[in-house]
Amino acid sequence: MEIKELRGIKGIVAAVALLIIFFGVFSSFLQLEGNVARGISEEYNKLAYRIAPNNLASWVYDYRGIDTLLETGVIYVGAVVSVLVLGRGLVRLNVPEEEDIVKVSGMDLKTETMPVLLKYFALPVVILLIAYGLLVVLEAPTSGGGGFQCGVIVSSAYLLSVIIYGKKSPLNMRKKALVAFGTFGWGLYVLMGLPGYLVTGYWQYNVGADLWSWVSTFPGAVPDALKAVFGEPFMLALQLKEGISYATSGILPIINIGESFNVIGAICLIFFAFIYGWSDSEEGASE
Amino acid sequence: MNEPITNLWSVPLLVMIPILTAIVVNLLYNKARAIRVISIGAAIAVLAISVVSPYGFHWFAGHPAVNADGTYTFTASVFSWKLSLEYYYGPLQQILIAVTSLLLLFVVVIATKSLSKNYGPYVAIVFLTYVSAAAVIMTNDFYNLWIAVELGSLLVAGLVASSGTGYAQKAALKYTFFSALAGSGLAISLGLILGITGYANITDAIHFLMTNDLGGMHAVLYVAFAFLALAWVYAGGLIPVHPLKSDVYRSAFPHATVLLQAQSKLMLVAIGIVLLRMFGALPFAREVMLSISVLTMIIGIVMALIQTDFRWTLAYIIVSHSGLVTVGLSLGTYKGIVGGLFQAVNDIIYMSILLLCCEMLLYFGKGTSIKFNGGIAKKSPWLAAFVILGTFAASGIPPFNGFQSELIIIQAALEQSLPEVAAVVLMVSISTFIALFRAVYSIFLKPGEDHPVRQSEAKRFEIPTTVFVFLSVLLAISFVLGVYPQLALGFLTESALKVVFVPWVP
Amino acid sequence: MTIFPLALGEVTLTIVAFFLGILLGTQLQARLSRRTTLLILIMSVVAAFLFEAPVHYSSVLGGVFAEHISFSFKFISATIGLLVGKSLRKEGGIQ
Repeated sequence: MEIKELRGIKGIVAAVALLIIFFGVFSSFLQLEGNVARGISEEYNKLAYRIAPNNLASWVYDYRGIDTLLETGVIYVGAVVSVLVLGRGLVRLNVPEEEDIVKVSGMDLKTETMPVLLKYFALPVVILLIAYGLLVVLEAPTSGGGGFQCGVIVSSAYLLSVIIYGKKSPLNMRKKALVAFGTFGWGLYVLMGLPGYLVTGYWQYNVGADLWSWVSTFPGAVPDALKAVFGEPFMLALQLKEGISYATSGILPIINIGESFNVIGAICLIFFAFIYGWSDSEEGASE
Repeated sequence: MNEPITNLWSVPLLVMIPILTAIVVNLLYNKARAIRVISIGAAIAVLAISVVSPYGFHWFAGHPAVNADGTYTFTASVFSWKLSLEYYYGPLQQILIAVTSLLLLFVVVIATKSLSKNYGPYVAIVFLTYVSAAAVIMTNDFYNLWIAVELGSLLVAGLVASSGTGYAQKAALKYTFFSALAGSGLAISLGLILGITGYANITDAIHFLMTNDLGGMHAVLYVAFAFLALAWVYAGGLIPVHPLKSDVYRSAFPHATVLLQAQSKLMLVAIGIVLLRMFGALPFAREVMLSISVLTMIIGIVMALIQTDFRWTLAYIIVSHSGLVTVGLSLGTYKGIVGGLFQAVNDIIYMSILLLCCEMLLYFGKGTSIKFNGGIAKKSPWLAAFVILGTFAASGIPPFNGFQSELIIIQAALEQSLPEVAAVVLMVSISTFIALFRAVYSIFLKPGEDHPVRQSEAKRFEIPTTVFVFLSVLLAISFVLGVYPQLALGFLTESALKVVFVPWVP
Repeated sequence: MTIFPLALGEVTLTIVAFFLGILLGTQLQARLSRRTTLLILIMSVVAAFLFEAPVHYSSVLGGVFAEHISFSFKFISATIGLLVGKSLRKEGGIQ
């Protein structure tokens, strides 16, 4: 849509609609001020230290873990669809058709003008960026961070590498590897629901932390072995003011790793398809 | 009645099996045979699960609910505030998901047979579309509803764009652009509801609204309603976004449209029911919903009447009949809701018949324009029979299923003393017949080029056996539901009763 | 300098970081001179000092040496993992 189209009656309608929406939202925000009901969040806060020291990780990946699973799906689908539009998996009926498939070719990257100094330092920076991404995902249960952020950091390293070095970039992700990363990531996330499902019937019950098997109405029981496998490796001694409390985040770190690989696969795949274009015959960048 | 369980085994499987299938087939990419086996197996599995599953809740991640005295419980018999995300699988969910699973099976079989070999991503998108529809109809949580709608609209774009033609990509782009609005609208609505009640769980939020004095904060509720209704309009393709949605229906392969229309009906039903449960008591809320629905019906059918391409005609009729579904729902009475839900089921079925027939026209390679066709009936009499019977079902002619649900909606409208609405429903049903029969006549019945079909050419006009079976199954369902509507109504009455009398129960 | 209370959670993720580093390192295709490798390692130690160990960590194995001196071992092990992973892939590409 061009700006020209917004002149005249269309523009007036749009402006009026925007004004109404603005006042509606604004007035409701005014009414809400000071009246926000705390609801279930109080309960979540009370239970905060029981899973991961980082409260946010418990919320996002445990209490609302299925939301995040589908959210992960949004990123996965975003990548699949974007790359599909660029040529991966465009399908056609096995019959004569009237219109041709639209294909996109890669970008034309010119890196000759990049200063040599940048080329010298970029590679160490890329490697350190990836390491930083891994740090961010692995510290998700204990401090701010998580899978989404890690994925974005690593894909920014990928982009940096391509911008500095062009198509023959040292961080040379092959397209099969990227698709496999995405598959591994989301698949790992989904499958982490399975242990809890098999022993308690609740999908993605955190068998490592096992918060609730003491409640009398809880169906099923978590075997000690399973609890140890998923809980012990992530056990932390939290120094609270009441004394030392042992807590484990259970499956949360694993889910976060799945999440991060999903995001790495998804976003880098989009970059890849834009940079190199897509054709089913050749494999990857400089292979 | 048995006590509802909170760890129903089937709910996670209905979501996770398709997700895992999608992940695997996307990885396999062009290993056609493996993809075919896996995807058909998974589709049969979810169909079987949806049919045999009992009813109950699933509290994902297995966190308990908090009783009023601060103790924790894992039973759903007494009201308590939920810590986990809740899905509910009841009779309404069962019939809608079972029908959609059946269609998923058909779509997967057809797609893996009729498309070029690299259909891994395409089949993945098909399965995820199913996931979004199933999640939307089962979830009892605002936040999850939002994510499922977001996921759904992205998938619609993918399914459309995958045919790779210029106009399909344009349609997909336009749809994604505007559906971003719907998504953020739903998010604002969710934020306001969360702010005013503190609960993302729909049951808990309604419970809070009923037990607490809002102290004149009704503007918040109205804005939340408005944004949720906006999302409803976008997800279902009601007016004023009908051009986008019909563009989408027309540009996808007809077999994909089978799933797309099922998904959008499920979203209409799910969000519509949430609107009724949450905001049904607000003055003017139902009136707004009703006006949107009636306008959608009228404009959809008028647009359908002036099309010259069978695919466009079907696209606009789907839009128009979405309005028929929502008219029933937004009447808000028991009978109206039953009619709306039944119409959704019927609509999904008879539209699938017509869309599959349309797909066959593409196989024949003669296009779907009504100008350049004719005489298909002579070459493929079975297809002509199917399309004519499908037309009867869609236009509400007994003894097919469309008749029964439209009758209920008309009765409900008359009971509410809204004869205008009843008249519009009747008009839509008649105009559907005209619009469809016009296309059917000129493509199938009108004498075509008058040369005898050669032996070599005759093979081109045979319907594949699988499609023949699918069409027969769908037609049989349509006929059985038309003769014996109680079969479906038994699944729908409970939900309708709950929405009207105990809206907090999912 | 405390060693206890020691919980496994302070160590496991450092090991995981190493293996994930190898996994991503196999995507690197570059020839690194010994000087550059050394530079990367030194920078990673400096960075690990700046990032510190998470607040709940208390053992030497978790990276805590004294009250204000702690290292993020995960970062160092991820860097080493990346370098190891890189050497697994056949060399080529740019310098």
